[in-house]
Amino acid sequence: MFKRITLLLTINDGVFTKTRSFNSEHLYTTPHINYSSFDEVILVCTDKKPKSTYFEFIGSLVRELSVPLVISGGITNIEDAKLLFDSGADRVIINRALWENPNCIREISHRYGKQAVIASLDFISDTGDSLTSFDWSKKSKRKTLLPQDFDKVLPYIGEVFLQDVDQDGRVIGANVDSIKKVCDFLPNNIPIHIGSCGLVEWDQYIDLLKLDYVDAVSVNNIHHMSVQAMNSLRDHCIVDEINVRHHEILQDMPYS
Amino acid sequence: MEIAIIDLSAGNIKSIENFFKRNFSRNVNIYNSPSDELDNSDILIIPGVGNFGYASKYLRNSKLELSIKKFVNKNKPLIGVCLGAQILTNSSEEAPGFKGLGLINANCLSLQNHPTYKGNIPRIGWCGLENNKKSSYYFVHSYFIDLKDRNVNIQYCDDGVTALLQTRNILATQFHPEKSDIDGENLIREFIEANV
Repeated sequence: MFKRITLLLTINDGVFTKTRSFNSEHLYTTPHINYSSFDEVILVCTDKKPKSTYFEFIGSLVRELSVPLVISGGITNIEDAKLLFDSGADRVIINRALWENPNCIREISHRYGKQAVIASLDFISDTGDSLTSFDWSKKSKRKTLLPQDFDKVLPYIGEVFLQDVDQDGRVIGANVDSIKKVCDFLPNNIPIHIGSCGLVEWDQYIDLLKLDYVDAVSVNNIHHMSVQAMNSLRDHCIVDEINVRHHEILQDMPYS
Repeated sequence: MEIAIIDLSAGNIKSIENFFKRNFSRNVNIYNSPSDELDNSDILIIPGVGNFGYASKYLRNSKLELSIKKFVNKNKPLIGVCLGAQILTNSSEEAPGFKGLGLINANCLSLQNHPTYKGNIPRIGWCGLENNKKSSYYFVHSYFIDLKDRNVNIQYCDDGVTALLQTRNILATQFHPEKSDIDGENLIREFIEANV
């Protein structure tokens, strides 16, 4: 299997949004992005509850998208998940329900298969060297890194998606040690997907992709979204003997 | 060309509908119950994403099971994608006690019991085929098809996992052609051109 390089787009009220400031980013729109350069496209919704504009955005994207689509959007029960699957999600990201309604994860997994369920863990530095979870709805730290009874939910989760609240959007690079520390708390046979963790330099992508337990790393910086940038990252990976889709395949794709 | 898609009530219907509309025909119809229109379609698609037990129960209760078998017996082309491919077999370890459609003599086993695959489970991502390194396809699954029938044309991935099966008028892909960009489109185009 090739390691995945995925595209992460943060959406607020149907438009692209910068992470950290969460200001709308009107400088670029969907035609600027070569979606086929990526192994998956991930939409992270920052609306408190997904708005109609979010679903309009998804609708316009899925009509043309020929690579897999992963969608988040305030899932707290199976009906919320159904809405996203019906909109075109191949897999969904669950965050708040891990803490507030873990029973629904079992229900979603039974209906859509565990491979379609991704658990998102947003982490932040706590006192000393320790890390804890961040609750976006209250904009505050939680007391622990993992939800209570996380072990009981794990059989119904197909992948863990990590977001580093400290580093995301600061353009200063990722804290690879923190990411590794979080991974130490997770079972070693579950795929790990590195989401918004502030990665900037190719070397950091490569450091993370070299880890056996990391299956995918997301790109969420506008400067990394062109086909040239992606080919450059894939070239770096290949030089470092990381098994990624070869850019010769991608060069044949439209818009390249 | 009339394309019929079975709605398993747990699948990525939008993706597969858009894929066929965009690349093959505007006449794409979705069915969640038997009908004459479904019977008269030129090609039938069973999409992926979902749980084997849920899909098995749904096809039986909706009586779509009979429609699918009737369609195949008329020698019309059928494409099963991911779970839609697995449901064509006899059974799956994902849902013991639930029966598949039995159109392919095989069973679905957990990847934990695969003889050569040692990677993460679920197995998620892109992979090339053993005999075609230039193409790659998108997989997302925890179970694989273990084939018993030697008369079936089978292709494996680099890591030994079953990628696709073809028998008479049936194409079963473990991967998602609708999510595999140009390679997925080319594969389906070839099958349609040969069978419709």
